Amino acid sequence: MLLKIVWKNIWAKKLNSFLCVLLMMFGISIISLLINIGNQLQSKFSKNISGIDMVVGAKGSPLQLILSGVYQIDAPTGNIPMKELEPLQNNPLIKQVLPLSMGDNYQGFRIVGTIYPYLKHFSADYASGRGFKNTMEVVIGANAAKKLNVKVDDTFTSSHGLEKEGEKHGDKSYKVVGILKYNNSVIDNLILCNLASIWEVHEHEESNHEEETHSEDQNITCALIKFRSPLGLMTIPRTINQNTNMQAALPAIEINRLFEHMGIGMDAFKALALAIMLISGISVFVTLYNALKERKYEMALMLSMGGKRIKLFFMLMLEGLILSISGYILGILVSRLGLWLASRMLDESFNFGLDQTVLQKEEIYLLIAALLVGIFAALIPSLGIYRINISKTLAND
Amino acid sequence: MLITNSLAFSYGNNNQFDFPNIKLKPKETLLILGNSGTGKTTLLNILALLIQPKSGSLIIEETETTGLNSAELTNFRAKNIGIIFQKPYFVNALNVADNLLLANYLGNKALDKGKMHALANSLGLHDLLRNKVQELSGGEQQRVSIARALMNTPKIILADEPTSALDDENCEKVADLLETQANAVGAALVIVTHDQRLKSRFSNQITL
Repeated sequence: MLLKIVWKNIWAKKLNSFLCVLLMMFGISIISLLINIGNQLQSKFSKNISGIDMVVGAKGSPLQLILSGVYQIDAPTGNIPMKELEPLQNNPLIKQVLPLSMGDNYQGFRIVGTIYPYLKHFSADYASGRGFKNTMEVVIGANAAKKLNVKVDDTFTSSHGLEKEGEKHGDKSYKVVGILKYNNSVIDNLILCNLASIWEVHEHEESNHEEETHSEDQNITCALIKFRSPLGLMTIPRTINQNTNMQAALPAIEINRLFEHMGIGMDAFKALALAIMLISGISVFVTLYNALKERKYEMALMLSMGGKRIKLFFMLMLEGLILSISGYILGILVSRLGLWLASRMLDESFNFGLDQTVLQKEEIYLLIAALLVGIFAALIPSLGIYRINISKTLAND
Repeated sequence: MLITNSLAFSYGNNNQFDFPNIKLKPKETLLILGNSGTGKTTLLNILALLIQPKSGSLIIEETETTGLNSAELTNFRAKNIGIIFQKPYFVNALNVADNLLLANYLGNKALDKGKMHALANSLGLHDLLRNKVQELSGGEQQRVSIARALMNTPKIILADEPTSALDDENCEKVADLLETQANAVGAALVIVTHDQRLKSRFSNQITL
């Protein structure tokens, strides 16, 4: 009966209730969307970064080098000769050098020439097939394989550049020898082969106008470096930047900088969303306050019929809470819808999906915040129950 | 059933009401008459246990109510007293049926749908149970108020100017209904009014 009264009262002033729920929904959904995108970006970014201490590549923007080399989302800064890596490979402070060579794609998925340890670095596992051994053999990441709908033993020809509409390398075709399991990292969207494959595809074209030997021309795009000790971090980047034609960029620093820039925008949005939530709270307050004024007679009537003040107090509180909780639930649903749309967009342009099923820890805090807004907004009007003088209110004409 | 002894009440120091003693048995009707400002509604509120008298004794069903605390008063009222207010107050968000059942709910009793239908039938409200109370006419609202006052089978029914807003025909009907319904549940009926039309009908009267 109590719930029925509460529900009927909410329903009796549909527009007011709708406004409260709508405002709460907007506040919650904006914050939840920001939290989700922020957290998932951050976790994807940090997962891909893990273990890579430094990236070397052609001079240019360090952030671009990191984005292209580690995350495979920006264009590369340029090429560097493979032989420039030799001093690094021999440096005792360096544990591992993972050269990467890119510049071609198949239907928008990047073909990356590398060495076998790159796969090991991600602890990649095979869903079917095996690793690349010979030139022109490729291993395909789980997501790329799914989207391209390829299987082991399929062949394809690559296109030049990183966009789908590149010029085709018609005469050389790659053969798929392995499909990777889902790795939740950047390799999910890559097509991997050995460095020689990339060189072979390009040498062929270049040799049309230049008759030169290969080994000097063996260019790579960048190399991911792991240090053996933190001492490397202190000295090597500076040496490279000052003494060679390459640049060294530190992923940790660049990504921190990136998130700092993004953080400013996110904070502004969060402040806006909090303001919307607050307005929703005020609207719940005004709705209930007016309701109490209008329903003063009803309340006095119910008190005269034996209703306890505490019961009526909870009845009003419940109205506020139901409004804010339904706002919260709708907000989370809307944010999931938003995530799904954003995920589809990101997937199309960056081959990067967002998970819509997980409830972030911060969203639990949001629920608490929504409850607090509801409680505080309902508290003052509800306390008005205790000030009602039954006989005076009902005798009032 | 209902016995009062030298009840008195004052809103300030200089404005004291001293009320005549009342003694009422079940199924008896008492008309309390008086002009405005003579304390009719105040006496009704005292009898309804909504305000406490300054002095005197008020015994309902062999219970001395002046000694009860406010929680006990609330329970006692819900159980024993049905009030029909001058203005028809309702919970506007609920329909007629739920407004009637509300009396059971607030009186801490099981919701008695059978009783609701029986009362609605005898008061001619049966087709209106699903309606909103605001959609009813003044006479219909008055009958819903009466039905609600009877939902918990009270020992005393208090009616405050129940007929003042009604035309002659409805006045007659409401008076009939009050009397027959009070008789049916075996309750004493107290009507506070200045309505001349009721004077000739009920012989047991006191004038303030």
